[in-house]
Amino acid sequence: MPEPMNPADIAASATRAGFFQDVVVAASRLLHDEKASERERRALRQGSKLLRIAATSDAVLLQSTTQELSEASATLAVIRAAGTDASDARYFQQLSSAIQGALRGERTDSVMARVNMVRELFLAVNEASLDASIRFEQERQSSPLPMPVPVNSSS
Amino acid sequence: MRHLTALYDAVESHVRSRRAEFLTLPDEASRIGGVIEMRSLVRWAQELQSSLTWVDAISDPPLDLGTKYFIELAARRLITPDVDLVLVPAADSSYATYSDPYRKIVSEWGNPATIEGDRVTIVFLPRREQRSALLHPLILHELSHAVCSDHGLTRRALEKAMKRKRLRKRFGQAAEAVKARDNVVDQEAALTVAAGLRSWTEEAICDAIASFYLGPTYLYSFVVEVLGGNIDRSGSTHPPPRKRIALMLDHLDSLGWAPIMSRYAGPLDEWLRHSVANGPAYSEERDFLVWMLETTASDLRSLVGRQLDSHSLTPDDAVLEEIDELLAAGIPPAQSHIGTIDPRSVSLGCWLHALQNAGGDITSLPLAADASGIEGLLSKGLEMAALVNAWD
Repeated sequence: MPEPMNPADIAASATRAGFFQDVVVAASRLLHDEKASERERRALRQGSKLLRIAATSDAVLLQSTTQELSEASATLAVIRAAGTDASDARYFQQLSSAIQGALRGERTDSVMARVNMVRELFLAVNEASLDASIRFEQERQSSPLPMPVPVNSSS
Repeated sequence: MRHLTALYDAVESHVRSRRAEFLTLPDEASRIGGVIEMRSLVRWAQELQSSLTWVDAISDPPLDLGTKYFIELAARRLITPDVDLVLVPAADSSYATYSDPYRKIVSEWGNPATIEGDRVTIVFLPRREQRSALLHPLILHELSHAVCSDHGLTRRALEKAMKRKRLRKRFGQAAEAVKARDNVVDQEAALTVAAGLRSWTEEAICDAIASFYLGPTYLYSFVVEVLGGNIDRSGSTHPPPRKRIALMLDHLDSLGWAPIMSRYAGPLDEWLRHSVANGPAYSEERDFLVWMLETTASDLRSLVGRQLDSHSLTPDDAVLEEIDELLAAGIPPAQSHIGTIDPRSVSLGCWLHALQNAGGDITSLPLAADASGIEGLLSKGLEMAALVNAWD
């Protein structure tokens, strides 16, 4: 029987799922010209920051938290698996900028097309994260060797 | 129990509010997302339920009373004076710490006021080493993760490191190496290096805190723990033990411990110094991360020295000699002729006595750690020293 996970990590994963969903809903509301709640708008702003991190490849990343680094990694992995051209940092910058623009009230075709891409992206990331955690748990349960207990490194 | 009640209240409140929100979702994509989130919640609720088994340890602590007092004192000094410590025996082979495991859920989904002011730290120790008193100093490293988190030490260390031009340049080179090796894009490679740098920095800080707080005791416990494996094997989150030992030796030298280490276990001391001076070259991002640890070692030392301030243990020949005499006479060391003894000196005195009796070379380390006689004296000595200090 493997050791249980840190409840704080469980909480982080569960709230991350809620955050991804909030980004999806907020993007949908923008696309339908509906009013987003303050929490959904906050999730969009965080989503924009995450995409900016995903667009970065230099030491400025050290200013990001462990959770932000992990979320950006997960996002990139999903995009790569989906075959999107993630090698172009401009792709993420454009998505991030589109969110910022939409939050300011911009509704051009190009902004809305990118908001749609953001929605699809976070929907896919949420599902992929869930699938990965289920796969990980199945492997953990069937592993004959004890798994390492996650060491607290939250920051 | 208050935390558990707050946890379940928070989960119930969250699910109820999300259910209400899902009724207003604007389109199919949002509804699909809602289903994904609900599946996630079920998945994590299942995981959370299994994590509650260790709460049993509250009523059945795994450590002897002396060690319990010892660890609690360290937690109060280093984390916060009113910390609530829960020690849990784990089937796993490594030590670990969870800090305030339920706070995040309660804060985000429930009523944080119900647990306001509480500070809970859960420490796991391998069940097979439950009775290995000389290895329990390893718990200090785990407590140090809570110190890093509470006092922003990792963030401060990284901010300082970021100011080094050479470090920023070598970061880019390391990311290039990862990119070529793993066939990933620039950003993924950079994220890998950044995550490694953050983790390794925190591990180095935790080792430094344990070394400053305990003196050579932590080094000896650590070496016993890693000696059976490959001391050059590093992970994405942990530096190679050889490099960690080198940094610990540097910290201890800077604090003036070298003469004592040499006197009680000279051959072991020489072996360790020789080993760390003859390590292999590391490749790709590991080479950068090892270089980073060496480059920032003095900054980390200053950071930890300032953080611990008067809680750093300073060498005291006279006390250690007196402890040695008491142990030789089979007396648990708790009080010297000049007054109380710091429990940390009791722990160190036991290590030095056991090492000396076992020959003081590298083979004496596992022998000392397994010596049942010394463990009884250590456990009782810690318990009595805690009482004497409390009385004083």
